[in-house]
Amino acid sequence: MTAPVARDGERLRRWAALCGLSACCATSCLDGQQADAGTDLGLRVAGGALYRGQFPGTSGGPDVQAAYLTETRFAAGYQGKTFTGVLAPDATSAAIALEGDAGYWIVVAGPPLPESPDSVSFDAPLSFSGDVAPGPHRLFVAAADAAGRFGKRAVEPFTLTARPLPQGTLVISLFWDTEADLDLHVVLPDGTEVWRERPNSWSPPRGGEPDASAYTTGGRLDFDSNARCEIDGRRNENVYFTTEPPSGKYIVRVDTFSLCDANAARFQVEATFDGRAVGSATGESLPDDTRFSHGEGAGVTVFELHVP
Amino acid sequence: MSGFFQVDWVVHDQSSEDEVDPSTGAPLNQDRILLRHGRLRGAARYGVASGHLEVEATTIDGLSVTPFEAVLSGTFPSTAPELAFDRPNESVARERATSPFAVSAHFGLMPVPFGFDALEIATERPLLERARATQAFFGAARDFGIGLSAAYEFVRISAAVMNGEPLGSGSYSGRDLTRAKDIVGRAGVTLHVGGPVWFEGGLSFLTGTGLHVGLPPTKDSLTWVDSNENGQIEVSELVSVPGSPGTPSKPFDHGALGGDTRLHVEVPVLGRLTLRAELVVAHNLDRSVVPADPVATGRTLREIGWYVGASQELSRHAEIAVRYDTYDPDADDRREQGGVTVPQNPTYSTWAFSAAAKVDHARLMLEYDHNDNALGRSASGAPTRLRNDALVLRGEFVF
Repeated sequence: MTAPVARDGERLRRWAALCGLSACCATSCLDGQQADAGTDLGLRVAGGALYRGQFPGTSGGPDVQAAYLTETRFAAGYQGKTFTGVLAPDATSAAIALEGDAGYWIVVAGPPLPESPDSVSFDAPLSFSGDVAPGPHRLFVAAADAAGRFGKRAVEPFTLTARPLPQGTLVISLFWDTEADLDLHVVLPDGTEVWRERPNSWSPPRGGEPDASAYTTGGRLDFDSNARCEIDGRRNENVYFTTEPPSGKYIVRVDTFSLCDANAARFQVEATFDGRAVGSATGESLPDDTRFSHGEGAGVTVFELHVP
Repeated sequence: MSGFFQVDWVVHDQSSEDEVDPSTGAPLNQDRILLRHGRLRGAARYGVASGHLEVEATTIDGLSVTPFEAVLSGTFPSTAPELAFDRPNESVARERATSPFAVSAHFGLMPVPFGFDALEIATERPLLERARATQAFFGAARDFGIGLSAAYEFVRISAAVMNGEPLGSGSYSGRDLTRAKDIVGRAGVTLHVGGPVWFEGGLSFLTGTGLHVGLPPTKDSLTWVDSNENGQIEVSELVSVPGSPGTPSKPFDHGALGGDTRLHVEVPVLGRLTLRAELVVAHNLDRSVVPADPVATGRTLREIGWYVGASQELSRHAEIAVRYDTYDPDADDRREQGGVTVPQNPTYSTWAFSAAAKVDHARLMLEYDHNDNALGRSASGAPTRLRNDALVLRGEFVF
């Protein structure tokens, strides 16, 4: 794969020649960092500067003394994963990459941690693309000094897990493809609506002490994904019953609360009853869909299903 | 009625990406064709009174049509040309030869009378845009106010009381955040040195008040912090976030001093050579590049901007120009690295090279901008240039 930096260089040299600029000037025009959000990469590092190309090899720079991933098994598409570490005292930055990615991220070294006062640290919140497959992966980390020399790279293994769907008798799942805030609404046969403001259809009885596990008899919403555009990367909501669901007609709706700067969101809704597919629909949310009410009863009906 | 439009083709921009900004939704692609400026102006004069209304259409940030100038003026003597803030003093001097004294009063949405770069008419500028410091301080250099301009022999004086939120200077542009008004003005000279040589120069000032915008109060709330990052909600991970009281808005002083100079020489055969330079020293005045907020930073932000440039006509049908401009939005800037505070230089600078072909009312310009800044990160983590060079082709028509 040709690195964009190289393509950029070819284009720039062509234009420089057109303008009559000297080769010297053209070289200086290529100094510095190329603007690149890195949205096509498997790993993004908040506050980091992206450089395309191979992870830098050892060139006599400082070492990484420690690297910490809070949890080494976490869900695919995880956003804001804590990744910190300790670098040798003469380090000024750290390079971080996901093995196999087309580039690496530079983060500036931070202040010493209390447990290692003579060294500097790094703090690099990691966000993983949903395209990175579940399974074992490796992070590369290397420290660099003020002269830009890199030390020996450290390897931090981790495992991405597929995000499990809730287990239940009746499971209705909404998935979508962009970082928009979509909400799943399910109206039960008795008219109760399960949605983000009422995540459980069960109501405690008036008076008396309820059974501690009674709440599990209700239809439950597991998560309000990308709520108010606080992006969590899940893009999935489920309403599910772990006990026998009430018989009757269920109405499934999808509300587009916000597209969160996305142009559109394509969604898919699936329903299973005792493991059998009983409903499915696809659709697209557009900017106009955000203009309506987002309360109870909101959204467009994508399908209805009957539970015996 | 008069007007002009400028259509740009950004042939190449190093900062361009086929992506959108996740926080604003704005496209990051810069390689495009756009209407940079399209202005329509209606003007009339009846004796001492004159007025004009000018609207601007642009597609820089999507289609927008906005007022650009709306000025009621009175000029004495009535036979003198109106001393508009943005008319080149030199041409006024030549037109005004029959009257040694003239004074004009202005009221409305008008140019900010500071320096030369902020006021230079777009169709007469030999480069595509104004220097970065001018854009930082004055945005589109148009603001609501009331002002006076006077000329006596070779002396030129302009002053105005203005809202202090010029067009194109942020989310409050065109409105006024404080009751206090900005006072801005320029005193200068226009001298025919002799033969083909003209000299123009001036000193400008601005003093006024900006506003640090306060925050509304927040309520107590409950939030989930996935401390062990296992994706499961646990009771120990539910955190109470206490509400906070609102913070009041606070005014702060801002101001600037500037000096500008230009030398025009009519070169035989070729045409006019113009040398230009301008220096502005300001505090807390940046309104758009790195908006200054001394309340938030806890210290006064010292800003320095200057440029030098030259343009040479090559007959009536061609012109070349070059300009170097630099702008430091915070002369005391610093950053943290490895727990140590180190000074850093956030200066922006640009080498701009332009060539133009002119025929009748049309002009075709090609400009290459080599932009330097400290927005990128080197491998060592130190600030480095974020590539931002651009090659732009502009077509312009004046009617």
